[in-house]
Amino acid sequence: MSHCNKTMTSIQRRSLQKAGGAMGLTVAVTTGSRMLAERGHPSAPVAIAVALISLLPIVYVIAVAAKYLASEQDEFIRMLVVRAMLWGFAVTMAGDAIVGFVSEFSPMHLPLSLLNADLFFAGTGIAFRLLQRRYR
Amino acid sequence: MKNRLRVLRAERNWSQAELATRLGVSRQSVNAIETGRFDPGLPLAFKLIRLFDMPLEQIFFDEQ
Repeated sequence: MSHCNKTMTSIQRRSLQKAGGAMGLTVAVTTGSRMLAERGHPSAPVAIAVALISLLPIVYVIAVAAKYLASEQDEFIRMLVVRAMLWGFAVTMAGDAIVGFVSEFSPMHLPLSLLNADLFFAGTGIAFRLLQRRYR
Repeated sequence: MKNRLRVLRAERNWSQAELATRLGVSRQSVNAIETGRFDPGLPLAFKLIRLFDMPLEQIFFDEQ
């Protein structure tokens, strides 16, 4: 989570790798659950189970972030990560608001809401890089 | 809160990176403290006290 791989600590590198894995898992799980819902016409209990499975990558990445924040010795970097996560939430909510509006008032269907977690990860990552640039 | 970190570091001919290594933090942390954009918590403040071997009031001072 530092500005380049050379300056990353082992806990930062591990956390970033896990977050990257969670991003891939999110895409796989959301795509899989969407395909199942569209083609399989699952019953209500199966639909709920699939929806719960979609939660797993999000829970996983929150756990990764929590573990990272608990392990990070540098309080300043910890503060930057928390601020970056707030920006990540902001980007996700803004994306949802736009998608919600477009879906409600136009025939266009955007599946972006299914990739909320990825939007959050990407928003957090970009925000962290930008925040870090201010303290070079 | 203002501080004399940059002066104290310069007196010892340490770079920001060197001071960061001695404190066990990132170089960005040192930069943020020096420029007054981040006030360290007690654990880091105590590290600074030990490293420079001087009381806190001689490193940090209130703007008032």
